[in-house]
Order: sequence, then structure tokens, then C-alpha cells
Amino acid sequence: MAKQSFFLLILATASSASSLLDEAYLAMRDGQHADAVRLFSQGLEITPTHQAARKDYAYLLMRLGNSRQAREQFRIITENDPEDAHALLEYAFLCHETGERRQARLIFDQIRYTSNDIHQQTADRAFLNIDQALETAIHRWQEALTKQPQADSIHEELARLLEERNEPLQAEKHYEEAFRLRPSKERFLLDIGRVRRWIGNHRESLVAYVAATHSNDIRTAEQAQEAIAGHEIGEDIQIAARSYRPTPVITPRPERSSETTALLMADRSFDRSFLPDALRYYESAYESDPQNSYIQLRLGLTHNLLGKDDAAYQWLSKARQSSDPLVAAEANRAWNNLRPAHTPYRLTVWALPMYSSRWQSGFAYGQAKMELNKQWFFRPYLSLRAATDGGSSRAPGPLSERAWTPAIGITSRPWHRIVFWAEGGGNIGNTQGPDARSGVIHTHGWGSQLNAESPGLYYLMENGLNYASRFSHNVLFSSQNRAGYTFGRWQLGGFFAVATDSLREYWGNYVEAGPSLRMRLPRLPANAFLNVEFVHGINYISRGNPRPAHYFDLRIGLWYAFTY
Amino acid sequence: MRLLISLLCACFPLFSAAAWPGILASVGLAPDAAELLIGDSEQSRNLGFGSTPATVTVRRIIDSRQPELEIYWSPEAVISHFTLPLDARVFARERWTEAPVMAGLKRDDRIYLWLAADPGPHGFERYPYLLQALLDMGITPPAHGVRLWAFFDSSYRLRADPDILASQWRRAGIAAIHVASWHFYEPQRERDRWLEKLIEACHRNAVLVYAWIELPHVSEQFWQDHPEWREKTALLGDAHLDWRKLMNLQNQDCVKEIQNGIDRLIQRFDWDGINLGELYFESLEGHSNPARFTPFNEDVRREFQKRAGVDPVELFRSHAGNAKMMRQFLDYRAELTLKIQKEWLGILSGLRKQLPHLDLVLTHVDDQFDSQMRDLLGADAKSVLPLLDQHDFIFLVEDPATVWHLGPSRYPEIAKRYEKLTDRKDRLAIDINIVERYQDVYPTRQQTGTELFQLVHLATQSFQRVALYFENSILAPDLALLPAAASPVKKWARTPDTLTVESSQDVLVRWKGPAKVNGKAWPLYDGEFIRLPAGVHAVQAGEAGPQILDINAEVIHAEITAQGILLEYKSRTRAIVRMSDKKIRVLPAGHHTVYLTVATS
Repeated sequence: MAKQSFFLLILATASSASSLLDEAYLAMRDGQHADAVRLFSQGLEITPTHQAARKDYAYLLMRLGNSRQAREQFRIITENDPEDAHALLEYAFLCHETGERRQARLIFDQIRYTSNDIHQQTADRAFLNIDQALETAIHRWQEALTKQPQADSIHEELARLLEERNEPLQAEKHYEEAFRLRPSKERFLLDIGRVRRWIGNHRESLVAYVAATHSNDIRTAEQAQEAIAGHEIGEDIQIAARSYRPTPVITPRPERSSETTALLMADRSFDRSFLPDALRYYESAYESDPQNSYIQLRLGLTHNLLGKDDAAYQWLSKARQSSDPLVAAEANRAWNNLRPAHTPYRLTVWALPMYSSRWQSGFAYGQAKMELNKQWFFRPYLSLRAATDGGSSRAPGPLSERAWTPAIGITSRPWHRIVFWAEGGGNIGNTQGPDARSGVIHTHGWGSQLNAESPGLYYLMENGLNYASRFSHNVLFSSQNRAGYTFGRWQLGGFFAVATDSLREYWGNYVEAGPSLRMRLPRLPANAFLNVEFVHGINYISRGNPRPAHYFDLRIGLWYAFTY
Repeated sequence: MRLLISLLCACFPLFSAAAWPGILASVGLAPDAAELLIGDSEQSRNLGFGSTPATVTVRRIIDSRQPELEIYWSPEAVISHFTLPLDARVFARERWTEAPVMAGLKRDDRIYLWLAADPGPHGFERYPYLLQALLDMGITPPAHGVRLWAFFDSSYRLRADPDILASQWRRAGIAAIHVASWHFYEPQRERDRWLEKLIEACHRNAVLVYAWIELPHVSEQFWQDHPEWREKTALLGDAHLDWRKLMNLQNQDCVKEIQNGIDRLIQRFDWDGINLGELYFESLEGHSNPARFTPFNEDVRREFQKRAGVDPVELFRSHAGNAKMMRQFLDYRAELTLKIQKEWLGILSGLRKQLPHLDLVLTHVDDQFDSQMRDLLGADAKSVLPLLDQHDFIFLVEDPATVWHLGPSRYPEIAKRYEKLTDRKDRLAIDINIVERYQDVYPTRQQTGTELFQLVHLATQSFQRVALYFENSILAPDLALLPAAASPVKKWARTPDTLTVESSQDVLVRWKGPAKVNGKAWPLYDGEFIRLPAGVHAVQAGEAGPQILDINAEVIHAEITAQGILLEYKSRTRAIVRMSDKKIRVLPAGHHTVYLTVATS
């Protein structure tokens, strides 16, 4: 009896589904599209594996322009029959059309290796179209990142493209960096959670999601809640989630006051680089809460990005007094970047100790220069130079002045990468007497210079035209050129120099060329590097030269400079 | 505190229902069209709604009409877990507990809409689909607008049936679509055939079709074929920004080539007009983001260097003392934009010599409400508006992304500012962007439901023409009420046998069967609606006669005469008339009076 009832029930269900689907086809034929959609939907609920009817339904949805719904129908069709390559292809195209590009790329990739020729060719073309566009875009943003490594929006852009290109590990790295740079944008936690889940790192994925559930933004918090629904959240995950500290000083409040709303709007505008908007909102938030050091910090950063460095400096000076260590640290970092342009004086120190195999001696040169920091084209300075050497049996006398040279001088602002300078002073030490010098320096570099983010070719040219009273009022022109390849801390290439002077001295007229190596040494500051050159040189004026015109010289020097 | 405030919100129905008349008015409904019940009021208790001691914190709701739509309440609200009468129809529930938050009830011919918490101060903060719920309960708006424009990008719709799309658009009150024409810049047989079909289908449904041009983007193929003419950013990279691949419009060889291509594009298809969209430079981030800042092609650099003595690229290489020079560059850039806009308006106006019916539209970002646009994009509306005296075009104001989060009341404000700048108010139009907003906006990231209807409603009241960007982003639940939101009706008066309507533009008024208008037999009706011109008109029941089912023009006057239907109309492009004998009549652009006859079967 029970068996019969069951059989009858099945029969009744099948007949009801069939009748609904028949009606759907009739409605479709008569152009009653809304009815057809409703009837197909009802019929397929009863017979979900009716593949032919589902395909017709999907195509009807496509004709109606409901691509998303059509995509969902093709998803079900391909789940019911994963071998149906044609349906898979339709599904992939619909994914692409509806913005699910990652999924589309994956399916095209799958079809081009598993299907017959016709589908393979179509999938192959579609895959390459998507993939090449992604590759180009990734490359473009990677290049932009080398120029603006601290731009969270570029990290975000890259992360999204990498995610679409099925590179979750790289994507995770860039989402994390974007969040580190812009912790107020808590939505990044959802991205981090998603890619970690995709990689299979479930625990860390939950940590990010749980952190996002504490967001002040209800949308973010709820989306995170959706993502962790059904997962067991242990205490260890809760504790780890706390390490993802959200925006430093926006403490959660029961209701949004107007300044908090302004602040949120300001942060959102800042995040999207709509800087004039951000400025307006931060100023409004500041009016309501002038003691808030986070707002002061953001006002400083916004002014800075808008190129209003004077105002930025003032705001950052306030923010660096913050009791919140994170705010103070960030403000301090930005303030230090602006400080050189905002102090009354600027101190520059450089030093170059080196060894030369040609002279079998060590040398040391250096200068400390205190400059009046005004926006004038020419600025006065006080200078103290030092030059000494270890002496050499290969030279009749000292190889340098072996003296201190205090002087007073002026220097210009860079103009088309050219700096003019002149100074007058006197030597104290082994050499005595007045000392006047002046010169024009031109420096230009192309490609990946030392400290560049990415490896690449480089070229650096340094030209100088210098006058020195101490050398019989001689004027010396020199050009030093370096070219090669930069690999992170290393720079390997060639060195070429040429010099000539007004008095035609043998030492002032030479050509040198040879391999060169420059590298940043571990544990030393970024502006210190080791310089090694092995050159073959020719003094092309022999008058007064006691040594052979051709020479080889191995020079090893350590360059260090800083400005404060 | 948050709990207290939320409870207060839910417990003061009189205060919080203040937005209700505004909600109803956004689709032309009278304040008494339906009764609003909020939370636990005496009236709701009498109707069977009851609160329980259990409370629910609501942060997200699910509307059964569009379950996948993310609807968030910010701030969250704490409500009672209500019980509903058995005959109530639940429209929305809380996401986690499934507690009902919106339901409808019909008792004694009265329609009630019950909400667990108030709809918010503007009426759209919590329940986007209030008005759709009323539609489900049997309430229909009394009038439809017929003049909306919508942008259309075929990449999202290539496999949709053109006939179905066209009839859907017309039903949604859309009078013209602006087709992304760069996909058709180079001839390609299959694609071209699809567009031809689409244009034919649109014309059959009295929908006009404009070629939407988005210079300096020309086409994907053009970008590939002419690397030498690619625009550059301040970092001297190729200006491929978002989906647009920008070309150098300073280079006259490039301009000539594009001009020839556009000429061919316009000749190849049966367009009704051309929309020259967003012809300025990038980007909304201005010079603060050199990776997106244009133009830095060689022609621009050379010209600026000649003028100012500095290669503008240098402005991004050193920071000291650049402010003055940057100002000079930004001014130069705005001048250049104007020069290019003038040049292209001239070129496109020239096409009218061969195709005089073509309408011309210039889509231009607003820089009066958001005054940063001149520096960010080089866009300067104040300089462009005087061109309305030299060229006959519509100035379509696009509200910039920076103000998308502001409420609907921004449109009257934008209108006011532009009306001060030109006497040609009839040629001002507004473009509403219906897209996901970057700002944290609630309850939905994209405008839908009541928020969208209020936007369209206020924009219609403020401008002669409202465009929507774009047709595919309008969510399905909004299509039925969109034309009601675009209704230009100002006043209604109803007596037992006469309906008096005052309207600022042409309007469809819900009316069953034939009618007399101002005492004369009226030919413009389709059985469900009658079409009325702008002005005050008295409508009474009439007798069947020759019919015009639809017309895509401004009706000035119509009457049934012995010679046929006398129709006086105005149109900036060809007027399309759909007659009851299924014939389509295409009438010339301009202001004309014609007689139309209807074949009797």
C-alpha cells in the first residue's frame, strides 16, 4: 500500500511538473515572457534535473537580458552534467558578462584542455583574451607600484587583478599591504579572509573574518558574519583576531555623531584619493573635535598629498604629540619627511673614505654644510671640508690637501638638474692659505637606480665644471658615467669617465673605463653604499707626468651622506 | 544608549511616519493611498500585529522580492519579535532570526503596510521596496512619464533579444537609448547586424537611438592600431585608465582619422542622434595622482613648454615651487578641453548637413555643484554653456561620483545653479548614475527602490530631461515603478465624471478605454493609459475612434477630424508614431502639424 502511494505521488509530481513546463513553453511561444519565467521556475523546482527544460529556461532568461539568472541556470546545468562542454562554455561566457571574471577564466581554462576541438578553440581564444588583458594590467600596476610603493590603492588594484588571475598568494600579500597602509579600510579584512579561504588557510581566514565582524561599518561586519556562519570560532581565533587592530583612534560609539560621520566620510574620500573632499570632511570633523590627534594626522597627510606642505607640516607637528603611539609614529614619520623643507637651517654631511691601488694609499674626503633653508634660488651656507690621505711612495708629495677648509658659500636650487655653487674660505693644516672654489654640477639618472624597488637597467651621469683657486685658478671639467643593471642591493655595470682642464695639466686630462660594482651594505643606512671600480685609464697629456700614461686602478670606497 | 535610541525610533510612529507622504509622492501616489503602521501601535494591535518580549537586533534584512540584495540598517535597530495576523503577507524579514520586518494587509478595501521600525527620515533608509510591496497589494500609480533616456552598453546584453529589450525599455518610460558606439566603430558583420536589429526594434517601439561617443576613447582596435597616438599620463605611461583607452586629440592626424571613422559609424546605422560624452581629461583624482593624470602627449607638452617654458612632466619630478606653474598648467588644460569640445561639437554639427534629423547631446560633468572638476578633469561648464548659442545641442549634466551619496534634493540645487548660467533652460538635462557607490551608504550600495524613485522624481521636476546611467544597472524590481517616478504631473482633481490633470510635460495618465480631453474626442490612448500634453486638461469618458498608441515626441495638440488625426508635435529628432493599425510613422524633426490616417481592417 505504502509502495503504491509513493508511486502515485511520484506520478502526480511528474505530471504536475510536466504540465507546468508545457504551460511555460506555451507562454514562451505566445510572447508571455513573465508567465513563462514563472512557470519554468515552478516546473524546475519539481523536476530539478530536467536538463533540456532548464536550458530552454536559461536561454529565455538570456533573451530577456537577465544574464545573472541565466548564469545561475547554467551553473545548475553544469553541476548536473559536468561533461556538457557547450553548457560549460555558456556558463563561462555568462560569468564573464556578469563580472565573475575569475570564474570565467578558470572555466575557459578547464575547457581548453578537456573538450573537443570547436569548444577548445573558442575557450582558448576567450581565455587568452582575458588572461592577456589581466597580465598587461598587472604589469602596468606593478610598474606604478615601483613609483608609488606606499599607495594602498595600487596594492588594492593589484590584489584584485591577481585574484582574478588565480594568483591568491600574491593577492593576499597585496591585500595585507593595502590594509597595513590603510587600516581604516576594514573591508580589506573581507578580502584577506576570502583569499586565505581560497588558498586553504582556513584558520587565518577565520581570524581575518572575525576581526572584520568587529568593524564599525555595519556592511563589513555583517558580510564577515555571513562568511563565518556555521564555522566554529575558538578562543584562539578570537584572540588572534584582536591583533588586527582597526583604525587607531576611531573608538566605537553608540550613535554616530556628526563629527564621526564627517570623519567616516573623510576616511572614505581619503581612501579613494578624493582629496579635496577628504580635506573638507576632515576640517569639519576637526571643528567638532579639535583634540582628536587622528584627525590632525589625516589633515596633515591630506594637505601633504595636495601639495600644501606648509599646512601639512603644521598639522603633523600637532599630531606627533599624540598619546596614541600609532598616530604619533605615523605623524612623526611623515613630519620627518617634510622637516628638511621646513627648518630654518639644513645640515648636509657627506663622507667618502676610499682606497686606490694605483696610489697604494687610502684617502678620505668629507664635508659638513649648514645651509639657510629659504625658498630663494640662491641660498647661503657655511661649510667645513676635510681632505686627507695616507701618503704614497708612488707620489712625490701628499695626494691631498691634508687640511680642513672652513668656508662661506652660496648654492642654488636645482634647475633642470643643475646646481650652481661658489664658496670662499681658507685651508688649515698641511696646506695653508685662502681657498676659493665654485662650480656647476649636473646629475641625471635613468632606470632602476640603487635602492629602486624593482630590478632593471640603469644609467647615471654626473658632470661637473669646477674652479679652484688653489690649483692655479684651474677650471676642471669632468664627466662620470655609470650604466648597468640593478638587482636589489647590487648594481653591476660599467664606468666611464673623461676629464679636461683649462691649464692642460696631465692629472686633469684623462679617460677612464672599466667595470664597476656598487652595493648597499647590510645593517648600514640606505644612503650608504660601497663603491668598487676597476679602471683602465690614460692621461692623454704627458707634459709633466712622471708616470706612464696608461694605468690601472682598483678603487674601493664607502659613500655616506645624510641631510637633517 | 544605542538600544534606547533604537527602541525610541521604533516606538514613535507619529514622528517617524513623517516621511510617508514623500515616499508615496515619489511615484505619484496620494497620501491616503495606503495606511502605514509602525511597530506596536494601537491600530496595529487591533489589526492583529502583536509584539513579544523577545527582541531582535536588526542590521540586515532580506526582501523576498530580491533576496540576494544586501540591505543593511545603519544604525542598527532593536525591535520586538512581532507576531502577524494570518492574512498578512510578509515582504521582508531580519537576516538571522527571520523575524518579520515588513508586511502588507488588506482589510475592508483598505491597504495597510506594516513596518517593524520606521522607514527613516528620508523614507529610504531601511526598506528599499516599500512601494513595490504596495504594488503587490494592488495599488497602481496614476501616471507615467514618457521622456526618460538611458545609456546602453551592448557588452552586457549581446545575447538579449532586441525586440524584448526595446519593449521593456518603452514600458519603463524610456524614450531614447544612448548606445555605446565604440563597440561598433570598426565594421564587423555579425555585430553590425545585431545593432541594426536593435535600432529597428527600438523604432518599432517608439524608442530613439543615439550614438554615444566617449572620446578620447575611440575603440579597442584603434588603440591597438595607433600606438603613436596614444594619450600619456604624467608618468608618461599609456593612458589606459579603467576601461577607457585614451587617444591624443591634440594631434590633427589622429583627429582626422577619428573624424573619418565617426563619419562612417554615423552613416552605417540609422541613428537618431549623437551623444558626445565626457570629453575632457582624467582623472577624478586630479594631479594628486600622476599615474592617472592626463594629457601628457608630446603635442601638449610641446605647446605648454612653448607657452610656459617648462615641460609639464617636470611638475611631477620636483616638488619645490611648483604651485604657480601647476596652476598655469591646470588653466591651460581647461582651455584645451574647451578647444577640443568646440572642435568636436563643430565636427558633429557638420554631420547634420547630410543627416539633418540628428539630435546632438553633450554629456558634461557638473562643476557648479562640485567645483573641483575644472582642476580635476579640465571640465568647465561655465565656458561650455555659451556654445548653446552657436550649436543646437542638449547639455546633459552628469553628477560626479563625489556627490553620489548626497540625497535626491541635490537635483533642484544643481538645476538652480545651471539656470543662472544660461537662458537655454529647455536644453538642460540631468544624468543620474545608478551604480554602486564608493561611499558607505545605506541601506543599499546602489540606488534602488524608494531612493531611486525619489531621485528620478526630483530630477524630473527640476530638468526637462532625465537620463539614467545605465539601463542594465537598473534592478528588475524597479522597472515597474520607474515611469511613475518620472511622472511630471503637478496637480490632480477628481470629480465623479472628470479628471483634471496639470502636468509640466507630456504624460501617460492611467485611464481605461477612450476619452474626451477638454471636451473633444482624443486620439492618443492605448486602453490602459491616455497620453496628455503639458498643461491643464480635463479628461472624461469618450467613444472609440482612430488611435495613436504611442508617440516619441512632444505633443502640442491632437484631435480627431474628418481628414484623420490632426497632430501638432515638436521633436528635436525624427518623431516616431505607433498607430493602432500597427503601422509605424516616422515624422520629420521640428515643430509640425500633420494629419494621420488609420487603416481600418
